[in-house]
Amino acid sequence: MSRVPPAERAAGVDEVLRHLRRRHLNCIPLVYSAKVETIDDQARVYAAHPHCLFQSKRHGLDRLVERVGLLLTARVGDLTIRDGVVVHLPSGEAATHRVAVSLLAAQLANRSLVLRDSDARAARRFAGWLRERGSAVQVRALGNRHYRLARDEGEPEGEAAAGDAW
Amino acid sequence: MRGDPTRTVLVVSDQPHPWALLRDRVSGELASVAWARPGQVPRVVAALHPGPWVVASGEPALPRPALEVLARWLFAAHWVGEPAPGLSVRPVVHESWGELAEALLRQLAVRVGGVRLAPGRGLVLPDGSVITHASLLEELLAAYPDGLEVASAGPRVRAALRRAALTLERHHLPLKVLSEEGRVAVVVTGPG
Repeated sequence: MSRVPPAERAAGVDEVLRHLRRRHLNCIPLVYSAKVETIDDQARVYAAHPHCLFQSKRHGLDRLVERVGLLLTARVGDLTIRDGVVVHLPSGEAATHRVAVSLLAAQLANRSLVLRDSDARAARRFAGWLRERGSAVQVRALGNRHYRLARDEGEPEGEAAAGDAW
Repeated sequence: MRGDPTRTVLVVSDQPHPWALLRDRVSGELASVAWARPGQVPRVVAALHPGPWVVASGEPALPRPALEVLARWLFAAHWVGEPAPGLSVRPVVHESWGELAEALLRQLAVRVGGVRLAPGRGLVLPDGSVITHASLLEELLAAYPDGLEVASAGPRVRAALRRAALTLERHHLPLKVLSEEGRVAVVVTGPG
């Protein structure tokens, strides 16, 4: 945001983060800044968006690109993101819906997604797709429109939660 | 997509480290963790809707404005060390922040009469449906089974208790809100 000409700066960082939290709940903000190295710094940013990730500018642009790359090539069980689609590694088949990709990326950030209407239906179709391929991963409905991936044994990756799998 | 605020664990601490610990251990779809220095409590609580689900602190004293604003809400309180005097609820006391975090994780996973906390806000009922606007019941789940020891219940809290009882009745849940002798709790009345 520091590259935006001052005259065009209609909103500050905090406002952007608050807007993302209110209106784009499934967005995972990665805050790239020189001012996120201390807990004090992070606390201030976290107040605007409690689910953001941090990347210090001190480590340079290459590390940022690497971090984003890791988020976009998430591997969960026998699934991975490759060229923007979800690939079931044993079969080599791909699921192309953006909700499938978001579920994997969210898993790497230890987040669930809030899905409504057609996106929730897409998650259910993705669940069926995984079942048909005998994947070790399933889509779990946590309730209240929250969804996340879980290993077949029942526990979500990284965090326990009670919910129903399809 | 419109925002869907998550219930909040409010860490009141002069230093941010307890907040960072709870953020790393507790934060997720069931709760987010906010931080306020003692002097910032009124401002931070004003930004929470409907109010803190849990207040966690290790401060031996809180300024009067913080106590006054917290007294408007019913919440579960967890303290490391000697609790601050003047709180409207009696805190559960822990020896360390790690122990406090463990206690919060247990409360987040609690299931009473088939009812559990829903991700974000609200409750998941035994049939899998979700009800929102049940913040008092969420707070009582946070304090299950002992309930909350309340020094004083203002009109807002008394109205919330009535609403909570009506919610349980309307959804035919096997739970009941008990309010007696300064203690408020949810108890199981039948199979979930």
